[in-house]
Amino acid sequence: MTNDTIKKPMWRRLLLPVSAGALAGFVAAFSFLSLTDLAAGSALGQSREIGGLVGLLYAVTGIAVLLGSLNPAMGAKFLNVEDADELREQRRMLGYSSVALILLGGAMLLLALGGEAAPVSAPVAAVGAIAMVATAVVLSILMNRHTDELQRALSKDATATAFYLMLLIGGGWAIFAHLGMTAGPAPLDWITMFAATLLVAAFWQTARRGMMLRGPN
Amino acid sequence: MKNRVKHYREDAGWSQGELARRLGVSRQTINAVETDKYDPSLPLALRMAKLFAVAVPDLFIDDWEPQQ
Repeated sequence: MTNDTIKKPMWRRLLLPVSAGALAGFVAAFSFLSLTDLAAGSALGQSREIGGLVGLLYAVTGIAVLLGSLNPAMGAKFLNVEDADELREQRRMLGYSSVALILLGGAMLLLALGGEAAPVSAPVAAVGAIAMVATAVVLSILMNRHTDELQRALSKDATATAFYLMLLIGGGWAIFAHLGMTAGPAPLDWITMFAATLLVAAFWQTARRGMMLRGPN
Repeated sequence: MKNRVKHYREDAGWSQGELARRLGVSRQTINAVETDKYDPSLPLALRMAKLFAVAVPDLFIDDWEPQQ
């Protein structure tokens, strides 16, 4: 049990997850930017690059959770859980959640790389992204059947926080664009903002409840 | 909100996992309640009280007093 566990110093608890996350993020981001430069002949543009990077963040997070739930002993070392048993107990819920995250990330990547003057044709990107989002929605509904009240409360709080962040960031940007003080958000920027604010809000609400550093790692 | 869930759980000789199983919630939820990171819903608080055979105010401590 947590309270009986001898806690390691915070730097030791953070060392592995932060290092692994930073390394995976760097490799994924570097690969994405290099590949898009090669594929498009030049940079894709900020909207697509940022959208793709947010998609990549979703996918990398999903892969980490999926690997952790498939191998709880290893997952307990880098995921925010009490111990390996917690991953075993929540394997089904984490399985649905991680695949949904990977699919949402994949959809973002397809959208970032799709359309005119982009490596993926618009019809392929549209069909692929819609199929991935639809499957992610179905998985989220299935996942919801395996959540309990704490997880549902966190989800509701994160969704509300994401709404206010969207209002602030998207709304603020739209105000300045409407007044002609800056260019308006591109359609992909809105999708990126929705995805990014939801991720930030989820971390924010978890941290607000003091649950960011739960396990002994 | 402060609570005595851990006290009653340990008195019963149950692990957090055992209590979670009996209540139909995750171990994460029991841990969050015991460490004051999450106030349970009223149904869950009532179920906890029923399981420990105590009243809810014995389990969850609220310092609030009505104004005279």
